[in-house]
Amino acid sequence: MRSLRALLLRLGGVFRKTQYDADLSSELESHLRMHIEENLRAGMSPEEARRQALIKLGGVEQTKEMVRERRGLPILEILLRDLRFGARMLAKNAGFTLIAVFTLALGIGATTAIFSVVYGVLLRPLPYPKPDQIFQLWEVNAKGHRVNFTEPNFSDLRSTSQSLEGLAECNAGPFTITGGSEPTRTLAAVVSRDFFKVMGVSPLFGRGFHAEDQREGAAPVLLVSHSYWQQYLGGSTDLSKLKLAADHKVFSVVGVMPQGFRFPDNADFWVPREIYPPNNESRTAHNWHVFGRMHDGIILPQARAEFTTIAHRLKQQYGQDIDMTDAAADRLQVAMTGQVRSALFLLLGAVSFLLLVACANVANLLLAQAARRERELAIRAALGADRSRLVWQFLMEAALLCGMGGVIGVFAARWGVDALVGLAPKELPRLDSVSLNLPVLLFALSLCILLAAGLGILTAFRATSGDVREALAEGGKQQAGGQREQRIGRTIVAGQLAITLVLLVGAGLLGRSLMRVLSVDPVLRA
Amino acid sequence: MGDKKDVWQGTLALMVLKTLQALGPLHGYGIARRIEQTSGDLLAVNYGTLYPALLKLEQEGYISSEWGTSDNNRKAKYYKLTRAGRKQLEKEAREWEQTTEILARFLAPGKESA
Repeated sequence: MRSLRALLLRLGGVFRKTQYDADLSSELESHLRMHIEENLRAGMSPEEARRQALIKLGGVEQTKEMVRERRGLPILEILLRDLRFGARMLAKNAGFTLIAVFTLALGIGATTAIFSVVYGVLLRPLPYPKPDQIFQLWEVNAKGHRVNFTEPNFSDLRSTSQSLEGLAECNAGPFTITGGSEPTRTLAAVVSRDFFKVMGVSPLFGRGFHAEDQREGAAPVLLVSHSYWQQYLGGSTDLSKLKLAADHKVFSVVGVMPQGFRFPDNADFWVPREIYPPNNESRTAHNWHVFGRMHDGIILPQARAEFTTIAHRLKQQYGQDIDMTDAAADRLQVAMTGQVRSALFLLLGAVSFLLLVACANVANLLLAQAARRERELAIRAALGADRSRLVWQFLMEAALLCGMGGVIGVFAARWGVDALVGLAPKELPRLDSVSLNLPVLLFALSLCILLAAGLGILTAFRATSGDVREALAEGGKQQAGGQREQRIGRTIVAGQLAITLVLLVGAGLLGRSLMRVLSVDPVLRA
Repeated sequence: MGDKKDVWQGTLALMVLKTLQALGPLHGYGIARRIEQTSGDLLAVNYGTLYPALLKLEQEGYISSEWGTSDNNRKAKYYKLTRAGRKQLEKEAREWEQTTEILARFLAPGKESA
């Protein structure tokens, strides 16, 4: 408690310097006078009284300095002073500052923009309750390929497995829909009973499917997406009169799904599977995507083992009449993003290299800058400036540069993310969850801190490692740069070339693999 | 408090608190003189030790200060013990007595071998 109070007061002391200083001066002054008076009373001559008092009390300035150190927080004061000094130095070299900030902004902006896509698509958890329990399931055929499920296999697996909270099949296809404000051709998902239980999502309003909707010959009902409801159904909350015609049936709209829920495949309608006749015979008609939710506490490897056992048993039982030799399951997030995963990580790798090149450029500029300041540094060192203080100074300057670069970069990234999302192929899943959110901003912040530390330390050690005498002599000759600078400069240029080469090769590879990803025909071949 | 390593500062703080308890509100000069006199002039208190110590005590809330006028009409800053300071003084005095007592036992000649 006490030390906290003292800390707060000292923090305050940083900002109220002059008043405190004046106060202290008059206090010390009055102390001195009292001492002199006492000496006078003791019978000394005025000069002697003053001399004795001054000897006795010690240096006024040293005392002031000691009190100052106790009063404020010296570290914080030094930090602020260094920041101010750094800002002045940067303002003095406006051209250099501009180029360095711009380069850093470019690097940080590009990296942040790509990271926001990587985060939104690959890393951000799916917006469903306990998303790690949801998985997609495939049959694996004799060639080892993953294929869609057949209905009888799905039913057998669902009824046999012990690890499932629910298992659902679904199949999305375009429906021609009339009855809204205008006819549309829209993707509708035919989903089996447990679909919404698996996803953990229920309608925003209206109702979900009841058991009586989910049997053959029941009155057709459907659920609509929030966006379709807004755009074509006028956002009306009275659902009782809403009827939509499709697929030679008239469907009653019973509910509206929450905003953003379009699973699977950006569907706008969900129709119960059970209103259509079942297919209980063919174990080779691979028509269904299968999604499941595991019981809490069950992890994917356990579930996989069980599915494999069941698949093996079915294979034994049906022999030639079944394609399935095994079953494969992936977490839904992995399943959704599988194709783009490696491409996106590659892209992130590529911008990281771009950032490295940017850093190398700025480092080179900073070193050139430091070389010009060699004389100043040597003089400061000769006057007794601690090496750590000089290092600190460079760190502050780098921090200022990276801070400015970071702020501009993040703004650029905001614009860049929109552009990226616009450019991205529609097939890229989860594009709607790409944005500059808190984790992305934290990423940008840590990037800035990392860069500032790296650049600052590099320049600082380079610039303060020399021999003061030599530096003074060399600086005295007003040379553009000594041998040491030239060597380090050459090293950096070589490094830059190397990185650029890697970047070019990487970009080539990336282009190729992107082409490959995009050339995968999205149409299912049965 | 905390600064246990810095024995001199620690003892000086205790002396300041004790002085203020004995004499009431007092200025820096008065405190310094009193400490010197009490120590039989074995201790010399100069600015450099006194004022940082006073500031520290004030920041910790054990003493408070305000400007006033001295006996011979001179402006001076007066320091005064706060309630927290009184408690701290009791506590530290107790601890200090204990320490000296223990040390005295160690240093007392011959008792162990007897």
